[in-house]
Amino acid sequence: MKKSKDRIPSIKEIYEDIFVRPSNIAKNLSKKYGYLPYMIERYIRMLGFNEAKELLESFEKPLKPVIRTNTMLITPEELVTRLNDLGFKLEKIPWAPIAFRVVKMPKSPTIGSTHEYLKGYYYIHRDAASLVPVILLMHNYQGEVIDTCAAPGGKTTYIAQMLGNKYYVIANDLVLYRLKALISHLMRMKIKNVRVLWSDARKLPILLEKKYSRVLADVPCSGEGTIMIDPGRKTRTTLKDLAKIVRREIEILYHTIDLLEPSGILAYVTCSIAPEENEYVLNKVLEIRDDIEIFSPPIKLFDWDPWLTNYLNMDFPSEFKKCIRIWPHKHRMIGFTTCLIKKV
Amino acid sequence: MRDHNQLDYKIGKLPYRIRSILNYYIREILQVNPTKYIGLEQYLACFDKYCFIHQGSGKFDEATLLFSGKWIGIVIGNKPYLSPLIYEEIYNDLGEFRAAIIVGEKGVKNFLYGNDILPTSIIKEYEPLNTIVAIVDEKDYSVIGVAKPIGTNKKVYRNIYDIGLFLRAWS
Repeated sequence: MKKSKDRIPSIKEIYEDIFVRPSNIAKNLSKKYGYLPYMIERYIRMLGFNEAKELLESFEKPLKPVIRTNTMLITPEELVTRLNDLGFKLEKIPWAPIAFRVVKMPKSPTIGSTHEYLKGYYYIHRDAASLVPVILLMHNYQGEVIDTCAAPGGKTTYIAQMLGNKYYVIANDLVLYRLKALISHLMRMKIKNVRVLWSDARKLPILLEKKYSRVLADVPCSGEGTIMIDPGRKTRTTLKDLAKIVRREIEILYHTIDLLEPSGILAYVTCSIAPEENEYVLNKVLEIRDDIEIFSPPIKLFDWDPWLTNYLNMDFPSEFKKCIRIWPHKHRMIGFTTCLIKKV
Repeated sequence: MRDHNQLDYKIGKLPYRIRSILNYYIREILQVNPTKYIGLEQYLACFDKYCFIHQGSGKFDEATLLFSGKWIGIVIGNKPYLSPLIYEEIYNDLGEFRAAIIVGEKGVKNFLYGNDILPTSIIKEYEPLNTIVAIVDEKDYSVIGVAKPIGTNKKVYRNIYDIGLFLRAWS
């Protein structure tokens, strides 16, 4: 089949585009660190050999979780005092004053079983990186927001907290057991301004009448940025699996843009460092839509990296420099990306 | 219904009988206007054996709405009980506790493990007490669950539910 620039590519076309043959160097490294060889080949092509090794080393170091204060119920200072009294040691996240990394924990209780947790005083994030898209998307904004792939609810509860029960958050997900977890967080944290929908994000524009000024699309991804938390991801996703994931990501991004009102902003988010799931996805959507543009982050939280402007034989728009890459070896967080997209 | 993840779920309007019990408790026991705190219509979202009362389910435009707004309460054994959130809203507005037991540290810990409240744990009691009562943590005056008096002298309060369910029901 001839490739088309005005439709979503097939899985086969995506696979051909993203195919990469691992070199002997990549194969050797993959044996040493226990990865699928194609993954290492991509790291070397993106970062060079030395930095790729740094990335692999950073994936070997476990990350401590981050808690975010539910400021509707308690102040950060009071929360820190109470958790310190229980034997936790917390470290401030400089660019997110209500969040803290849990650097030391007592034998008991765990951070997920304190009375303070049960009372809804905080949410436990795998890492601080997931706060970034919410801070950027919600900068100087008050109004309704739709979170299209919301479960288990870290970003939804943060947005709801920022809106202080004045506006609704529409929180949608496709997976029921994950929605059950989201609902538990809403109840536990005494959040009153969320509507929970159970739908395929790709169908939302035809299911919902309203358009939104802010849309969050934290798409289901390979999780290739979270290997330090889940080492099983070193071998879980073959290149063929990745092509299927990429196809779904293109579909979700393509369709969720239709939820935006004119001048509205969408945050595209993945917890993957794969260029296939980020630069490639947005590039494909830009090829088939002419009603969006990349929007610069309204504030600089820390010295993040830009998206790639070329990878394999593909050139991406120079505007991709406005998008954000967080690297484990550089930023000491999970691998994470986000890009703000404006409807024009 | 059962979805492909093997999770039983049910959503819908709160049955009239259960709604009446809830309204009666708020009006007669807590002595406030139920509509102010739980609205005119309430809905149920049930996952496996747990049924939660909230403010909206069914359809949102053409999408399936599972849960909306405030957590109003929980249904256990076909009887409704208010959530900590609703109790706290009422107590804040009233500026006082009603149908409540203030409990010390050890009692709180035991209660959150699903145990009953013993007389030695009780710091203070607020009438009426011959009914469902809110259990309040002395440390920050937050509601941590509900209980009912049992035994001949009614000084032991049986745990009906507590916020430890967020660990037990979601583990």
